[in-house]
Amino acid sequence: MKKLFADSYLKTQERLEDWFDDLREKAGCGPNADTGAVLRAVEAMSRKLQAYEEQQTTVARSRGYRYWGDYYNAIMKEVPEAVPIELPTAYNEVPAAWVTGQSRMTLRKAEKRLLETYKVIRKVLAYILDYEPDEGKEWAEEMRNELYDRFSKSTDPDAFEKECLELTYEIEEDDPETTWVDAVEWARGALEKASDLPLLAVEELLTYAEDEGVEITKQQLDFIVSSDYAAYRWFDYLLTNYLRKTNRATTEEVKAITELKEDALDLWKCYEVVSACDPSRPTLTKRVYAPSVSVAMIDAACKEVYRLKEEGDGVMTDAWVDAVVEAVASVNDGNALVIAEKNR
Amino acid sequence: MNDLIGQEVFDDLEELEQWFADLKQVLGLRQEADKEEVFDEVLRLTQEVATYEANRSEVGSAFTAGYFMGAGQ
Repeated sequence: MKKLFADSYLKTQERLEDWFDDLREKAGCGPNADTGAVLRAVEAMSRKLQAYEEQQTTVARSRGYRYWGDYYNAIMKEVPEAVPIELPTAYNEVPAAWVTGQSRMTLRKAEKRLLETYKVIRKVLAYILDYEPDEGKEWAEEMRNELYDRFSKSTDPDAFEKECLELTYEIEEDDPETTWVDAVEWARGALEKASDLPLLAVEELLTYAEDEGVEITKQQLDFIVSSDYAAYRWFDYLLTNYLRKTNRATTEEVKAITELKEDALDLWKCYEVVSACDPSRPTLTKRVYAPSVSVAMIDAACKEVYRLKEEGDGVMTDAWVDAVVEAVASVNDGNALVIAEKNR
Repeated sequence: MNDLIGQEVFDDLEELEQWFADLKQVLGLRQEADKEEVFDEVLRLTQEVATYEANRSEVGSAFTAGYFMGAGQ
């Protein structure tokens, strides 16, 4: 009887282990992940999907579509049909350094990741095919060899995909550094869902961008879109355009204005720092701005900091705080000042 | 001794049951859902995340390439 029980128990355990192995793989966890790790991975995935769904809805609605599906179909109708590209068998194997290099992926994870990389490789191959009639067979062959060379020597998929993007830029006639595209639609999607930026200023910046037709280079756009802090970067980009009274801010201008703005807001203290309420990162904080913080007020604070830096030795003192608060007060004395006063 | 082994087994099972219940809750499934339903739901979740990411990448490429700039009605 005891043996029967033991056999039955072991069989059940074996079935359970098999099920858990499959589940762990589907959840994207490594072979050593325990039940706790799998639960956390599923939780993270669930949160990610929820955030994605909210983002989809916001983006679709900001562009005048009720549903993401309608918006997606409208875009895809405009995109020329992709040329079917068959991948050479040379790409079948995961580059060795993905597993042994710095990224230290398991082979299973690397194989899964490779499927994503195939899409990028296909895109580059499609570009090469597109330009082959103009550039010649020899050029196309060289480009294909170059692509494979970079792939086989790549140490991690992210870096390789970035190289692919650069390779397509080399092929494209338009230089991404000098090709300007409309910034408003992109910025709106990211800014309208951000809860830790000054709302009034965001509205004003979007209106300015729309009225002045603010544009952005393809290179800057790719950088912002792939950033984890896209909303902040859009805010800084539009603010730079506003403060410099331009519609095509350069990377250097954005960098300079962003530094100035951070100093100005830090001195002005027009925001409160609260917990971001992220259970996975309990120490993470976010800013909550007073609703009345406007672009004109940020402008005044930035100008004052710039003046102080030009005139003084660059060392920030309490007198700077007073000067910045006074400069802002000359624009408006709304709620922002109350918070600034409280934070001092 | 037998009692001790039995207790250990039951403790493990209890822990496992709790984990399974937590997993179902995270997935938004009813507590009666079985292993297959849980597995299918995790699969669906993975596929939806992958689809979203693929869509986002396609839309991003379409914008970057300048194929689509207009808003809807």
